[in-house]
Amino acid sequence: MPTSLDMLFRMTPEILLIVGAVWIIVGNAFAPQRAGWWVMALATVAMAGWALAQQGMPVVPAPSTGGESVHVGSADADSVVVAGLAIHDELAQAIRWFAIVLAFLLVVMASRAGAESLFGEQLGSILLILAGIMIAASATNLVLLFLGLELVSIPTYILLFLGRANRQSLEATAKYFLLSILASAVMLYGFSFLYGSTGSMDLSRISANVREPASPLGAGGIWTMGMVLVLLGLSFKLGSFPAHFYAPDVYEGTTSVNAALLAVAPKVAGIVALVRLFLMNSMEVHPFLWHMFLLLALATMTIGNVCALWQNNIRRLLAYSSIAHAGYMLIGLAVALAMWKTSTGLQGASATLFYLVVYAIAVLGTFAGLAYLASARDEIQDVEQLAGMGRSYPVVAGALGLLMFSLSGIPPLAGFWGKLGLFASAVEAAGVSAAGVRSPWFLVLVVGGALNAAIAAAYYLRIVRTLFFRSGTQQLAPEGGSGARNVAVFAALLTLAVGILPGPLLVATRNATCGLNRDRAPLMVTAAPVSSGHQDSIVTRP
Amino acid sequence: MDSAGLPIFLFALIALAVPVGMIGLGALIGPHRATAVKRMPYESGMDPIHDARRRFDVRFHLMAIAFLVFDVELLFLYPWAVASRHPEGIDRILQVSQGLGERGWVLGGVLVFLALVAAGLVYEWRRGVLRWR
Amino acid sequence: MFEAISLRTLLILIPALPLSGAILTAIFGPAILRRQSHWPTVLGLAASCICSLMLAVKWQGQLPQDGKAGQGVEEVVTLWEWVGIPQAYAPSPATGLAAIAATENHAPLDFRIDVSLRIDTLTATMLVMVTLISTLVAVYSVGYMHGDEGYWRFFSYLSLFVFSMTMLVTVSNFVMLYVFWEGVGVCSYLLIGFWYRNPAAAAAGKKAFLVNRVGDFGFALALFLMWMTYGSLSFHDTDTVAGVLGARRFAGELSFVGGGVGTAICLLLMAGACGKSAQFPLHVWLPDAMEGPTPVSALIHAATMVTAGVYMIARCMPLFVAAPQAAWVVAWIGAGTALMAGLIALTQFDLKRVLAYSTVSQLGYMFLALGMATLGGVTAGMFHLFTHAFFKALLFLGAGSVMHAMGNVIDMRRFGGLRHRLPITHATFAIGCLALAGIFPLSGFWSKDAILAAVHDQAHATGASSYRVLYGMAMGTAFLTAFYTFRAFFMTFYGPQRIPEEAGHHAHESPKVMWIPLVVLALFAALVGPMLEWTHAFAHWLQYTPSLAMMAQAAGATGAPAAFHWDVAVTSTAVAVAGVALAAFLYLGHRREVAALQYVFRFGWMNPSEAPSDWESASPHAAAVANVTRPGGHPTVTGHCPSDHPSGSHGHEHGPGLLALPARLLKAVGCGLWSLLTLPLWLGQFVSPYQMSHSKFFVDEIYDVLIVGPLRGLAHISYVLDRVLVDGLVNGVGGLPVRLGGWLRKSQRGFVSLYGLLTVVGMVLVVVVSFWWGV
Repeated sequence: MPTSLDMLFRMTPEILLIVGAVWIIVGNAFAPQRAGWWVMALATVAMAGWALAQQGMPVVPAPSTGGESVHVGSADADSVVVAGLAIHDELAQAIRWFAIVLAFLLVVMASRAGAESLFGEQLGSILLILAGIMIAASATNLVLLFLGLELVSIPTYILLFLGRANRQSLEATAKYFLLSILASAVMLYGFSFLYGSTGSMDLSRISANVREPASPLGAGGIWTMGMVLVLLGLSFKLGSFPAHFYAPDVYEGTTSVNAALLAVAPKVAGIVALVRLFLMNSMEVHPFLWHMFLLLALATMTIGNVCALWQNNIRRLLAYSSIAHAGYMLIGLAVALAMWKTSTGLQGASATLFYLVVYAIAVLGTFAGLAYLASARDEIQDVEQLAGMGRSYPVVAGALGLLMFSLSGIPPLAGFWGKLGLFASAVEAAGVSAAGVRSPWFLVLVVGGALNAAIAAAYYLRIVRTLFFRSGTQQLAPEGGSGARNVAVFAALLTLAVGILPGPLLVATRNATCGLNRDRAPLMVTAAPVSSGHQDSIVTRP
Repeated sequence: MDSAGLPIFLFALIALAVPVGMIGLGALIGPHRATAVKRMPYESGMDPIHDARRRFDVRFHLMAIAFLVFDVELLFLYPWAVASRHPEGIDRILQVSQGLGERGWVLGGVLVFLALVAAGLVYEWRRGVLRWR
Repeated sequence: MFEAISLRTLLILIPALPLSGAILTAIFGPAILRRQSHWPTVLGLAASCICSLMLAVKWQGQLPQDGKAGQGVEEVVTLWEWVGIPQAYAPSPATGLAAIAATENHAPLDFRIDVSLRIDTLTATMLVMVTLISTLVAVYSVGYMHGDEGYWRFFSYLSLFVFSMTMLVTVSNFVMLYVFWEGVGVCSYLLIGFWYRNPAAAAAGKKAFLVNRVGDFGFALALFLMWMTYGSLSFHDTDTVAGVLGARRFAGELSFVGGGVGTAICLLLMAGACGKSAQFPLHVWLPDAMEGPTPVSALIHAATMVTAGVYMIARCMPLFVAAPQAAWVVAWIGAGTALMAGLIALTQFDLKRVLAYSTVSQLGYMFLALGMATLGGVTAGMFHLFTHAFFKALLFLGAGSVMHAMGNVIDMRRFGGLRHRLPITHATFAIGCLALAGIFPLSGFWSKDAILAAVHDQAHATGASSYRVLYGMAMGTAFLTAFYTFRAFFMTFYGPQRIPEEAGHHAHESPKVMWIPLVVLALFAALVGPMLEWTHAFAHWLQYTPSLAMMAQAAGATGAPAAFHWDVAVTSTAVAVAGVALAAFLYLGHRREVAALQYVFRFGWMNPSEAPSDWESASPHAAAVANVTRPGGHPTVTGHCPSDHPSGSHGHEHGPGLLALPARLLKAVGCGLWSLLTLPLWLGQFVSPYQMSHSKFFVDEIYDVLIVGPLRGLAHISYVLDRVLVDGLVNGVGGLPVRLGGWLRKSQRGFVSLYGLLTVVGMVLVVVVSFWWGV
């Protein structure tokens, strides 16, 4: 039985991040100094990472090879710690680790971002956002989930305001603020439906109550409506249709560091929230839900890619690209939702996580590269501004080129494995399945996805062409700081490394998702139908 | 959708009908005698015709926001104060869901909250929000 | 010190040294090394060569000394796991093909690709050959490429190629094999198009790449099928899964797949080999590849890369043994290609093209040997690969030396009698020619004889008439080989001395750095064959390869390769000498080629008024000469009319004594063979046999008509469709958001409410559509 101390111990990384953030924000108001607070922020992240390391990972038994019956087993229930409103299972731990890595990269990247007097706010906001992701990743309660998501959103408003102090930047801030509130309201409305239909804020209770046929409200309309509203509200975090409109304007208006954060942090939080809510919660899936995921995936990636084709502004282009990538990730979630009880569903979910990680690293590196190349006054706006960079700044240009290749999914790089996993899961869902929902619509999804990948290659390769095969018309003075450059190069190398050795990350994402159906019967790889066990909750409590 | 949707539908219908009905009835039944004064947006003192983008002193906004923030924070203390003393209050909730038995944690919780608010106050003070130059 | 270096270290060093050479050259070449860019490459390759030799010697020491037949020895060094997908494929009775899956209980199989290097005698042989020749070629290139603007680029590519090639023969996994298969293809493409400003070179590079893709497609399909069938793509057994060519399979524990699936796998593999090794019908790229620098032609397109297909088939030989029909196809493709390429080589005037067709022909020979699917056949094929590499590289480098001296002129009609100007080239070229023609006791004789003996044995063993036909074709090819080789030799080095004006003051022997490799190669070309074959050492050495050991076991306790047959040896030597003699008659001294050709092919003996004319005295613009020499020229078809070739009437009259016997001989051959073979064509007044050969049997043209033309038409239709339909659609679809975006942009400053509205409308839309669809 977890005690209160246990809970505190479990939440130490988040607490450390938040305390560190507050300390930096207030402290910077007294002693505005760039280097010191930067080191302090790094130290905070390191301490949080250390605290997280003390907890260890839930032990996932390695899939046995060559044995007769093979289970992609779930971890020992003992190694999963439930503390209060939070659960620290494989998924939560994986995302928390990922958040620590992201925090580190973002802080390094922001070494020269913003004005010096407001540098503390910049760093503090970054730390708070990452703490928000960690909280959202481990929430099993709607309230804590909402808290985590808002902890991602609210510091983002501050960060956006801290960008370049010009009209465009302020306008972007206002837009983001208003639309974010709208989305949060829709999501909260959905939460209220969930509470109303099941009488609980606890995710496990919600699913238990929904599954009970005797429940007066059942899995019927109100609960479904709630899930729909939550999904639509979260689509703002993902930057997916129908709440994607803000992205191009905001990315264009704000700084590269902020754009990187916007492209990564809300997406991580949104995906993990979706995984928690939909996969852990809604076992008796109404086909309606995965229909909607499928539709959203198709619409989102198509809108993103087609619009990006026509962009000359690289920031808007990347914004549309991030929309398109959200669409790809929804593919995996649609598969996971439709086929949750089979290995295909697991594959869909783990492919989504894999894609998320790969995408986040790549897009972070891209914006870091742009941040490095920007001058002190202006960000890089036009694709044409990058012309000739291959000659004048070969290292950063090479890193950017590599990341573009990865984002478009070209084979020896990480992005390829991401797309491969997603499409493979969808193909499997369309064709070979003995259980779950087999639907030709997944074939439509795959074809749509493949077409989109082809379209996307066009604009990514255009950037590569501009970088290397066009002669520069104007000289840029890169003033983004060596931190940004290092992050760009590091991300490129990481992308290459994962591309050459995808194994460890594949295994890690697979392990992260396999705890989600802990209360199901062991998962058979041969896709045999598994009896839908009616254990009532995911966490066992005395 | 099953029958559960019906109450919502009725609720939405009534919610729509009431304001529409009120405005509509007013427009239909009420007398319409327009005079020059009546047609002005505000009848009280201030000249309503001027540039809408007239500048307010930014200090008004800062003050207003600071007040709002701390006002809301204060509001959070009321339910805490009431519930912490009540046998069926926060204590019970905490006991059930987390196994937190001791009252000390309840106090500690609110102290953390207050410390955060205090940090906000210090920050605000240091940034010069409270200074009326 | 020698003992201290482990096999593992050597195995890693052999590809690593060329790779580091490539990287160093690429980094330091353009700015720092410049004219010294060859050093990393030359040193890296030389070190790699030394490592290969050490490896071979060490490996020889590790072979079982009792020499029992059928004992495969291999060692696999796994460096790291490249891809590992646990439980990727669950073979089940329902999916059918996994009849002999690696695990019997239908447990899911891991898809695992290791980066692992292997050593067995087959690999060691290839490594020694590749690194030795590439080192010599690199040294030669220092002289040949001197002053080229892409000097460092050349050496970087060259090193990269050697890295890919050594990896290709060392890896122990079909996927890695495929990777480096493509790797050498890319290097080949880069080097063919090395002078990319020359449109012909760029086009040739493209052609090579595209034609190879056709074959690679087959190869890829073979891999898919193999994975579905065997559940593994590894050569060796891993701890959990039995490899395709692993010990468990050789031990008979698991079987090889025969029947339809096995044949399909083998034929698809052969398709891949056809592309890489330029076999009919995918041979068309190799002659065009001669647009690349000559050292590249020597190394990649004669000695090493093109033999990758032979290596692959030899490596997969157990699969072919299990699917004899596929082996039969291999033999026929090989023999057919050998004969066809030999016929084409008869009439080419471009020295390098003669050698290119000769390469195609000799590769066909190797495939013919492999197609026997006997131990004797495979060892003979590999032996021919080994010896051929030396003398063909020698010939190409010699041709390069000639080209170097002649100011890049390569048309044999424009130079001649160079033996005094280029004495060393002349001597070494002569050795290469003798070896290629298969004259005793040079290398070519032994390897060619081994192949003929293998075919001969198989014909006797099976009694099948098809093998007799193959034997006949091989013999015919031997004659053709001797003839065209010496035709080129005599045209280049004998006769009156002629030097084109492009040569300028270059027309002298090449520098030392170029002729020393020639001499070394000549030594090898002369000695490798007799030294290795005299005791059958090569065959004995090779049969320790696990893939071949099984066949040695099947061959019996002796495990003997094809025995030396006196009758075969004497026949082939006689045939080769006859070929040389005919070439000497036609090209030595007075060139009687044109006259004789006119006489024979225009059936001059039917028309006594037409006297044979001499090529030397004929006007070069004479219609008759142009008719037979101008590539792509349309033949004049009124063959008998004397007025058709005015030059023929004032040629030298040769004494009847001189021409009587050969003329009679030719007449007999011409009447008997040519008429029968080509009468329909001749009757159709379409094309003469000479023209057929000169135009390479119109394979390119047939491809143009059958494949390129329709494809181009299709491409045009697609282009129009693309323009009208797809572009319209894309522009429409893409334009809609742009228009929408433009509209939004106009109204967006300050109108965040519009976004909110659109968001809400979108939400409603999604809900409505989903409900309508799903509920």
